Amino acid sequence: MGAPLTRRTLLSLVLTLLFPSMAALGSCSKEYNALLEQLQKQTDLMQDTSSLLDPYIRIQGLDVPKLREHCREHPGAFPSEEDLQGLGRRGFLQTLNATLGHVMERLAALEQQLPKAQDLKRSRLNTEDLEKLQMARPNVLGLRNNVYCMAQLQDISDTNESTIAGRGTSQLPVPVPASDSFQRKLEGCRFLHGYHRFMHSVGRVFSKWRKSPSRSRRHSPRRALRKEVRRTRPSRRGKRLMPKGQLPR
Amino acid sequence: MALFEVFQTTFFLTLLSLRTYQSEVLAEHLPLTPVSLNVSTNSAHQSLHLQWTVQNLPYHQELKMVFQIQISRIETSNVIWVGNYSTTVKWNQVLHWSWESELPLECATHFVRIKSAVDDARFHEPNFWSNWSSWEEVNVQDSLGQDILFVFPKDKLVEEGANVTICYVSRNIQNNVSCYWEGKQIYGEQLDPHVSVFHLSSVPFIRKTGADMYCEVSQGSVSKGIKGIVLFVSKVLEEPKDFSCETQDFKTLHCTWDPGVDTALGWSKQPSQSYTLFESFSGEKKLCTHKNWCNWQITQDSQETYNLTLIAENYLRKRSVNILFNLTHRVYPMNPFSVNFENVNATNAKMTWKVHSMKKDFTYLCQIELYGEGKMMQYNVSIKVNGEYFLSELEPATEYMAQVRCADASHFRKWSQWSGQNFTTLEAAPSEAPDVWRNVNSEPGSHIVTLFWKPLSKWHAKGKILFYSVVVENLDKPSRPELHSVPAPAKSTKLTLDQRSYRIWVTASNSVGTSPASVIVISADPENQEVEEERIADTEGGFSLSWKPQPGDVVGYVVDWCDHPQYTLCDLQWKNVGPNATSTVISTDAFRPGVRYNFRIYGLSTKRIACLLEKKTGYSQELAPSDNPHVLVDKLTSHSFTLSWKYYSTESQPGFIQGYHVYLKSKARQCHPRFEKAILSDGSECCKYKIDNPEEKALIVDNLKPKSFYEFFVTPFTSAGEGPNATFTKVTTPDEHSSMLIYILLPMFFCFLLIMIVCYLKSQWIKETCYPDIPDPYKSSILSLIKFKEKPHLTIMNVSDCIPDAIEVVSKPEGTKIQFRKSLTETELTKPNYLYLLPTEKNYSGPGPFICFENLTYNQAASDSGFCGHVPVPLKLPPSQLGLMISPENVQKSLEKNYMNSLGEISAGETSLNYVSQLALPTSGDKDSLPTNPVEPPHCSEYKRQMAVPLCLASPPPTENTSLSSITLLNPGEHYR
Repeated sequence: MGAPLTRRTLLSLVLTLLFPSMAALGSCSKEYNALLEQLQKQTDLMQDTSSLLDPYIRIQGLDVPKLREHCREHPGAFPSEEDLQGLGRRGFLQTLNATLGHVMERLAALEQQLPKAQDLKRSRLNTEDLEKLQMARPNVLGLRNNVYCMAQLQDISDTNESTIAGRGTSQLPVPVPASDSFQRKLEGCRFLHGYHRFMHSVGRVFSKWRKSPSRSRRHSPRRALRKEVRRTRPSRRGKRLMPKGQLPR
Repeated sequence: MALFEVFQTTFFLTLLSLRTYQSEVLAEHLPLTPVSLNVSTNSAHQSLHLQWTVQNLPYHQELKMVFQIQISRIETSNVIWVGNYSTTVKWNQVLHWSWESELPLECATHFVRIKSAVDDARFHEPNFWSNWSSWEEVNVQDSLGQDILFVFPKDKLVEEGANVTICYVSRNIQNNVSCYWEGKQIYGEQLDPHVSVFHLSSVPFIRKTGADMYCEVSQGSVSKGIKGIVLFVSKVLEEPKDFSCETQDFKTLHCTWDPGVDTALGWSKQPSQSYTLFESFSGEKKLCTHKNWCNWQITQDSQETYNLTLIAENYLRKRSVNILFNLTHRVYPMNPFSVNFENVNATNAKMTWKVHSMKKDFTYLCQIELYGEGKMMQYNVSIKVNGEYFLSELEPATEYMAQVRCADASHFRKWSQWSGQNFTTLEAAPSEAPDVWRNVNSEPGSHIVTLFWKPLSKWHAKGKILFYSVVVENLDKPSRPELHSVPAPAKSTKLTLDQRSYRIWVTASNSVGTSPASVIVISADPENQEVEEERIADTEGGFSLSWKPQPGDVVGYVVDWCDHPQYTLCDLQWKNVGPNATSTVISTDAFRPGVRYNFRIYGLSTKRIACLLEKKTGYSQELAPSDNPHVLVDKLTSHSFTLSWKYYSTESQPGFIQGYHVYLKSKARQCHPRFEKAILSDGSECCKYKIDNPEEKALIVDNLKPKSFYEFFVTPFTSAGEGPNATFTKVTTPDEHSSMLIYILLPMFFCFLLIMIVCYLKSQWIKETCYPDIPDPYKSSILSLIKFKEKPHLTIMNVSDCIPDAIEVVSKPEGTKIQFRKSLTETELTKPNYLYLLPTEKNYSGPGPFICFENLTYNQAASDSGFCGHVPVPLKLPPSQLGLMISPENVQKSLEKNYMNSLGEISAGETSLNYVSQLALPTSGDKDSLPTNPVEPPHCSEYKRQMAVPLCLASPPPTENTSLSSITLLNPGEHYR
């Protein structure tokens, strides 16, 4: 009797540590399907380049073909879809959470580079794109919250599963800080491009969760999770994922 | 010691003096040459920074010197800039000087050298330059790294309109480098095989995140990378506009300005311009936190004059604007407060307010505005602290809005904001009598008088009208006046008065009092209805009415009309006109096209009796008739017909009907006389006849052809046009001979009718003549003879004694009446013929009564024969059902079978006798089966109904369909022989 309690307490502690900012955000939905649907909607929203990349490109003046050609995701900047598909649920959620945390930091840095909305208004310039960019961080925060809730719902107990972000890289590799604004503009563009692609991949993973009958785990999440844990080989996966997860700094 | 100093100075000056005389010697012996030249670079600012010292400068001495600096690019011989730098040099001082390069320093190697000369006033002789220092080489390219391409300058901040030089350094001359400015390819000049330079002149502001210039390195068609720079182009900082300062309390100066365009740039390259206030008398400075206003604290040391400078500044430029003012001239008072109204009555009120205290003996000039009744009144008043103003000549029961603002009375600069309040004056008694008019309908023995009045204007009502008082006084018979109170907002009341004269007073009352009375007199005489109505036309949006002046004294005229004459509540309107007027124009927005308006013009006598003078009627705009008449075709002959539409109302049309157009279509190409050709809207031709008299509502169309087809259409017309299109009515004239036929047939018909009437009247005679009554045997004289012989068994057989079941058809030889009568006495000569009625029910077996028809008149002996009862008839069936069950076919077959068998002995010659069927009624009770050719009795043949029906068959009583006669079951027209 005492063992499960200790185990659960530990689990709560792990979750709290994993998602520190989420703990205080309120209660989570207990409906697996509803939560999954919400996650999918969020990823659908966030993979849409019109929400973030396109406004950024317009604001920075990168909307010319030559520059768009070079606005491509750095290979390895974000976990690939293949990597994400290969992860178990726990690993996937942890990777997603870690990546989103890093995205939050990068978005905050990007915002610093933008002109202030009040300055734009004072100059009678359009602030619509800027407002879209400023909505990105709250959106990511919302997704993170639901990821946290999904992790809670999954009642993750197996801590041996590999993650991408968790194996030696607590956060995504940050590219070398560019020395000039032009390079920083391009880096921001590439980062956002990768971010949208990553959200697309995440959405596809979530959609497989929905399609797979075994993922209908509302009544027995733990059992299904164990199956996944068995299917996901931590050591092999870890070896394969490690190089992909580390980007040159 | 001091002596020593003086000596030393003297010695030095002497030495200098000697130098002026022996400059060459000094130059050689005291060379003031720049030494230790050190050149560093600042890439951000594209500047070279020079540091050097001057050798051989006397100890603790200052000397004004001039330094000439030479800068070469790429190679020392390529001097691109030469300039002098003058400064006072101290002993052992390290001198600094900077030079900003147009070309980014990374793009080319620069060389710098310097020489100097004394430029001190103490030396009157011309300067002698020192020798050049050695060239100092500045090469930044070496420190760039190993990248394949570099573009410079990085993140340069320039102002809009500046000229900018950009270059790239390519490590490999084999690479192809294409450069773009904001997406558009540009071409530069090659500085050396690795470096190209681009000159951008007058760069525009593109966006706050900077304009992009980038170069792409490629080998063949393969891109090897892209490098670029962001050129931050700032808007030009504008001078602040409308800078002004004012105080509301002598404690704070509130300064405002229009900042103009914001020059902030993204990537934190340049913040928004900052604003600083500087006061020159006090020397104080304040950095403003807002872009367009700033507060300056007024010191309490009675400083009256201020010289404030507003400085706008960004990384590239500084702009300032200055104002000098006396504080007392910059007072902008705060808004007055506590605005109130005291002693408000119907026409006066006292307005009070307060103002913020400024300083001792400060006088305010206050302005009051009073709004009410659509007007504005303005008053000015000077006050110290508390203000008041007496508002007079106000309107009763009126809401006013009063507001006040104040300014410095001594040095007017600016009014404060308004502070206001609403108030309403009290009511007063109505000042004007209501405008009253009446409409009188005379009925037998009474006048129905409807009084109308117009609501008093706000100006005259002086409050809310609560009710109207109507006092009716009989002028012909002294009596107590009647009072009627009509609550507002009613605008009319109806009175029923007898046919006497009455005077009516109407007053309006509010909460304070009653208005003067409006008087109107209803005459006992009925209104003059004989006045002819005159037609008028609307002219320019109104009806112009004129009338003949009434003889005698009139106090005025009244024109009344209905705004909506088409409705029962026609909304009576009236207009009062002065006694001298003989015309007026009635104009109102209520007038609508196509509506007939009737105007009555009354003269008002001094006794306030209204006399109808004239009637006018007209349309504000005439329209075409809305409907066509319903035309009747009358008196149709082969050559003419008459069209009439006498019920068509010309009064209810949307215009004055001027006449009618009659359109006639026929096959004939030529129009009839009086008709003219016309083209219809559909393009077809027809003939048209115009009737100019609207009351002429009939037309005889003649000269037509018999048996011809005509179409006609009648439509009225007004000044606006004809009535609506409609279909033509078709008429075909009859044949000429058919009328002749009528002339023949009609008299014949009347003749026939006459004969029939005569026949009817003489029917008794005809009856007696043609078929006299059969003598009754009981009344026969032979009975008395029998009685006399006392032979009781000999009697005439009663019908009820035998149930007859056969009809005896008496073959009666054709012949004269005389022959017939002869056969009556020779009964033995004829044999009776019987017609049997046979039952059709197969299951019928029992005996029963039978029906037998027997002509006793002609065959007395037949009653004794045994043929009765041959045809059994079910007792319970009504005769009608019986008829259904016994079909004529069956009867016929039975007759053919039984009767022919039993009477087969009847010879063919005997059957040639005529018979008379005394009953020829339907066999099945169905009227449809009534005989089409009923057997008619031969002329003058004698017959008698001979039936004996058992009692059981007598019920139910016979009806039309169930008459006993029906059981004869004879097919109509069938003759049995």
